[in-house]
Amino acid sequence: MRRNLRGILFMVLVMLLTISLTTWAEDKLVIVGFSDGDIEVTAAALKALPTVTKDVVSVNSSGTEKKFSITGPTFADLLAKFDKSQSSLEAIRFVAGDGYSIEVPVEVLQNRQIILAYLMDGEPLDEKSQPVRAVIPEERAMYWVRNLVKIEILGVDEQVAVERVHFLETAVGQLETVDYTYYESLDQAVSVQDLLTNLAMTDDSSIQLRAVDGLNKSEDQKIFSNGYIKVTGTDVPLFLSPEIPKGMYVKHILHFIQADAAVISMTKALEGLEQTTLDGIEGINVVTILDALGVVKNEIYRLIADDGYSVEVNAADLSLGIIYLDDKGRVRSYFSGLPNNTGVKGLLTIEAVK
Amino acid sequence: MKLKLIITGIVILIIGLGLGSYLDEYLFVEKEEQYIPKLIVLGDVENILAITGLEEYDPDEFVYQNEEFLGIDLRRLIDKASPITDRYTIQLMGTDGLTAEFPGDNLTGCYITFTQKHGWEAINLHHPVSSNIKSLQEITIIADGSNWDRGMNLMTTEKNLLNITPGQALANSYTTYLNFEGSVQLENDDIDYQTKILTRKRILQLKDLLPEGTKGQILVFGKKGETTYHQEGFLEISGNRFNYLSPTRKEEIDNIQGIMINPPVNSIADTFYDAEHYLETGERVLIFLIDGFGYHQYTYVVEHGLLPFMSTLQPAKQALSVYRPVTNAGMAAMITGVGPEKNGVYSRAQKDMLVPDIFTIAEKTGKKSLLIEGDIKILNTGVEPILNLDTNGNGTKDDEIFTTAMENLSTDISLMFVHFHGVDDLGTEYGDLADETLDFITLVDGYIAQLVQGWSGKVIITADHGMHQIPGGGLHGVARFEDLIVPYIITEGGGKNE
Repeated sequence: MRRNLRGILFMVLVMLLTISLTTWAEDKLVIVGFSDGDIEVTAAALKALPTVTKDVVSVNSSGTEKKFSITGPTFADLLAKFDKSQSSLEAIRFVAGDGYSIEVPVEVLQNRQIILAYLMDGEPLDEKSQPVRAVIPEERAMYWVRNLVKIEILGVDEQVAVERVHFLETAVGQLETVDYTYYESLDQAVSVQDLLTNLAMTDDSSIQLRAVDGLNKSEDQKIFSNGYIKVTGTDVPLFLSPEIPKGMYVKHILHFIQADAAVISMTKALEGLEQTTLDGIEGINVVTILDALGVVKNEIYRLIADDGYSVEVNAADLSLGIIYLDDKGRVRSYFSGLPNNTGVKGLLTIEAVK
Repeated sequence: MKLKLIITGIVILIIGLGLGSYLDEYLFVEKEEQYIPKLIVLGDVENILAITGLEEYDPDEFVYQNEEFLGIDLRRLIDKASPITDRYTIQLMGTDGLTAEFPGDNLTGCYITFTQKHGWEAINLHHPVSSNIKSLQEITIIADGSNWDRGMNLMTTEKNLLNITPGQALANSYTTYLNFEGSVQLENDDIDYQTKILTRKRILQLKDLLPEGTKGQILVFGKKGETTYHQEGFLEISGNRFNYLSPTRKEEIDNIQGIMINPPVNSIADTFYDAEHYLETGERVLIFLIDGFGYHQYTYVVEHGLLPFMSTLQPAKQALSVYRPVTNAGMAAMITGVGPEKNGVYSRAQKDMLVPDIFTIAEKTGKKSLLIEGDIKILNTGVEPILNLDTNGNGTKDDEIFTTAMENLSTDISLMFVHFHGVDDLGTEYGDLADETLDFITLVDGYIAQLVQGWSGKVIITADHGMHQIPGGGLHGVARFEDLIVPYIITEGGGKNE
């Protein structure tokens, strides 16, 4: 009799342990599909993230509306914890514990907030919905996946690495300028279309502009290429156009990037990046410029002048060089301890040699 | 004895259970819940109704063809939906598409009933029998005529081209479009069961509404000040509103109020950028906000010689105001450089801005600024306004505002913002082009002339919004060109042109 009792007790313990392990195993969310490995997040870790509380309305397949108040962290905040961004995702799939799954397309990812809710109307989720329920306000209830256990990353818009850097002052010197009236001043400007063509920047992707005060702006390629960069007078370099509202102008451009190419203003770089003095010459370390623009790491880099002259420098030697503006305002390079031929006058481009 | 008691107890229990079961079956049984489809009242109404039972609407008894019915009085039902106009037409549509249309002015004897046989049914005792629609699905209210102050307006910078309401769009031809919402799948026994989810949308192609040969950009205004520029797109008819869908249908603006073809490049938000530029270059800046002064009023007074000072300056440019064209939203755009979407002020209800204003920017660079207002504070600005009451009781505060501004002309103020209110006040009372309004525009022109003469520095003259004529007065706050396009002038203190 006592033996039987022990046996029953043992069985009960085993069952309890199994149940608790099962619960523990389900009490997490797995994100799969990133090239650098999967992410596992426990419910407790999710709850530790900053949360939002939002009144939402779900619309089901029959059009019935239900109002809820939901609380939980955003998917964007969860990704940010792992240095990833929702806006860079092209598609994801929510997978529920019961096998239900739905693909979330790029337009939803770009425009909507995704909340990983663990409270509804202030109460913990029911058992069938735990550990979290995905909620996308303003999207239909089919995206509001209960018992969310897995998120599959179906595509990431990997930013193209910058492979070449052009210097604006040199590039502008190769172009014809036009008169541009800016307030009461008659200034000089170059056509962006001419500039991009001259630098073989023919991609049709959007342009990321950065001003020296830290302003970042993304601009449509068509709008950008139809505009001008004003190079004399106030606020230069200044992106503007008579066709666009003044709110779209970008003053004091530090650099702009499109696909694998970047254009940097040395004048503004001297204001916005860390300066250094090398053998009595004041300028900016080559590595500082390349890092600021996220230029790809290669073994050899080629420096190209506006007259076509070029010279290659090993990556290990880049930190020995600076870029500066000479007395005539020309962009130049100087490398301490390297042959004089690495000192390029009228520096137009630094490119990573493939 | 005990056994007897136990047996008696068991017998009573059995009888009780049996009785309970009988009562449960025959007396307390609940009627099986009956499915009633929704009957929707939509179109040109404030409230969309989704009716799922007669009881919700206090039905009346009526007799039709010697049969007694319980039905909702159609007039009462429509009143609950609150039509946007007094005069309207009604369309009754059945599930098979059969539709009856009649005016909404005589609805005596019109009932909506529900029967097992026909579902929702319209029975109109005094109308022709063919107006009775069985399996009724939708009741559409269609506003009669144009409703420029209520519907969705299509316009250029100089003309209101078309007004259309959701009810009118539903009453005419539209396209039904199946919108792909997503694809879901469920794995069962190693098999993926896939389903596409689509929604049926009623849409109008924007190109069908635009005048033939229209080229260039269109600007779409949402109810909360949202804007988007495109070249084409679609209008989704959604209940009692229009939503804009971009050509790729990836972008959407809910509840759009207006669409402007080829909007001007200049906007009232330029006030911020121009003032900022001049302050940065060391100039003093004087800004005039002439409340309610539309571009069409400007051209009218110039043409009729009623603007002696401003007509000597360079002709004003057309500048775009914001939706809603009301003082809070317009002034916020002027002093922040961004629209309601970014500064958070889209109606008269908001006073706080989400981004710094020009007064705050000026203050940060050590420049003093002054805001000269009427008798109330419009926005919570970076500088406290100097308020002006109508102390002489002449019915306007603008003479007091003028005096305060004159007193501060030669101080160390770098940025002065003067808000004249009278044009809006009189325009609202008498009309945008009424003599009283035009005379007052001339008066304000005189104030501005004296202030500009005494100011050393740059001067910006513009308005927060315009206004349009309505019977008995004027109105603004609507997506119409008269409300949305205002003059914009930059000049030099002392009257010198830019």
